[in-house]
Amino acid sequence: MGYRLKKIIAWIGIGLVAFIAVGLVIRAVFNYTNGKKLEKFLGQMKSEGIPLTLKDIEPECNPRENAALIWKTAEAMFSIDRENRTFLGKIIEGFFADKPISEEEKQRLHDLIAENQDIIRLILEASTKPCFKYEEQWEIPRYNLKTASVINIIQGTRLLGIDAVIKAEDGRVEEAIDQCLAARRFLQLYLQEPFLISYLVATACMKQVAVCFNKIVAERKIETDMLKKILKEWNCSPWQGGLVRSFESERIYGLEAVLLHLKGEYEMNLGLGGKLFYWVFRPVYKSEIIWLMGHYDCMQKAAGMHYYASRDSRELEQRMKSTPWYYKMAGLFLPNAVTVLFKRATLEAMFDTARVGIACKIYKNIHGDFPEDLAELAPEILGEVPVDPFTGNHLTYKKQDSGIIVYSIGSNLKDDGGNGTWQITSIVMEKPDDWAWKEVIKK
Amino acid sequence: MKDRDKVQELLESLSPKPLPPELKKKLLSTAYRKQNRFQIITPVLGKVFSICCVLVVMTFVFDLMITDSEKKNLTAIMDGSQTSELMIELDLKEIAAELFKNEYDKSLNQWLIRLYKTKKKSAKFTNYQSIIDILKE
Repeated sequence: MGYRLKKIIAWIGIGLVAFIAVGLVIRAVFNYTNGKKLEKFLGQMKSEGIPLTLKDIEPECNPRENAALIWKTAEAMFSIDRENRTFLGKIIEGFFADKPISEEEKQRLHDLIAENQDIIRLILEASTKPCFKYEEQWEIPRYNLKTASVINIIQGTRLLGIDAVIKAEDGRVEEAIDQCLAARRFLQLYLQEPFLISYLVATACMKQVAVCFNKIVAERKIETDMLKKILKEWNCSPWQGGLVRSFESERIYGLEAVLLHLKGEYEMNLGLGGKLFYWVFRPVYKSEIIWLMGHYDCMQKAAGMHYYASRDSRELEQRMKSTPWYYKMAGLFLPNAVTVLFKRATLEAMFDTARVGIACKIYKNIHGDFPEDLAELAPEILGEVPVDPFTGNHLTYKKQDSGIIVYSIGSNLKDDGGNGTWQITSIVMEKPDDWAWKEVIKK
Repeated sequence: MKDRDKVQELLESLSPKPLPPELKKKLLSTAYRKQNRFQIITPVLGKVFSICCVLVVMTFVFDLMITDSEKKNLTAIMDGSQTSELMIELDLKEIAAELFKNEYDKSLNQWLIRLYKTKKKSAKFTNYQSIIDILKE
């Protein structure tokens, strides 16, 4: 090797060592200062009483009052295969599209319901309990916090809703309504489970039960007392507060996990490259935790607002857009809060239009005809008339000779005449996406 | 006789003469210059290299100290409480199909898949390598 080449190599080598040394010094300074900032931040959170671990938010639930224990028994009994699960899903979609059940489908449903009758009974029993805690103890070290089977919760409530529709068609309307109300109570209990996934499941299931409920109650003559009983219970309020709680438990769960990771108490399946990558970026990771907590605050704030207000403020979108490049990785592990808020708004629209529709039915029972304007419903029947969650304005109400229709104009903010689509393909739909309650007068 | 004188002269010419006073200095400086020109690591570079090596070692020691102190402080903040790990069922494709079949739910769907995969790998979402692995998949 020539002298000149040796010299170049030596220079490069020393330059590299110098570069690494400078880099390590800078990293050490950031590691120390960011670590101190994080400790100060967490200390402040603790002093303000903000929960830092899941144990801090663990609810009390006496086993005798725990609906989850009954649900576990139901879970063990499930015998709905994949084919039947798809079939049940199609039936619900058919209800939304106002498609009648064929005789063949009815027979298949009867068989399925008969096979899973105990599950329906157990869900109804569970709905009478005051709390739901699937994992009874949260403080066991490194405990695997299990949640109720998502698939079974979906199928169980779906089956229960369809069973209620069939009961109503067989003339057992009151029983069918009680079953839907019980399903709502059960899903409200399920909202007590931590984590956003439980919230999303409860929301999806509730929408399916709401479709069944609409099919039972709309266009059917029902006594005023029964309708008043429904009005008392049929509301979206648990889902409003539930989302704030879900975001909070997601935040706590994430924080606890990253802190334990920082403490080195997690065995990770990292290769050498992964370990080195994590070690180098540890200072960034510490400041990222503080940023993430701020993001969760923003999500919780949005969850506490009406959909139209959070959408118009665009705070969440702007925050996501202004994420510093060195925190981009964090974005990968954040749920899309905008979509979750949208899902809640659609459920809210279903509940609110149903409430107004039921109030109109009560009005008709009392006055002999539907009201000319929704304002006539308040305060006598409804404390206040709900607003459209997508606009903040009054829900659209049309009274015709054929009956009435109450609807929310949905995400596209266009009046689609009360026509909606079950399968939503974008957050702002080009297709009709109204959420309606229709009451057709049968002649 | 003549020959003797010649020999005498020749021997005298071969006898050592006193060196010019500057020669030694000149020779040494030339030698140093040559040595410096052909030296691979100069003394300055050597010093830089040593300092860098010391810095590298020091940062590693410092890092160990920081990590140790952080562990204690974080334990105090978390008050010794333990973590829980969310376990969701394995049939993710079906859950996604049930809950997130729509296009607009892609981001939520991906989030769920990431959540699941990180749990499956017991890696948590703090694990950058698993993110890279997941992205590769």
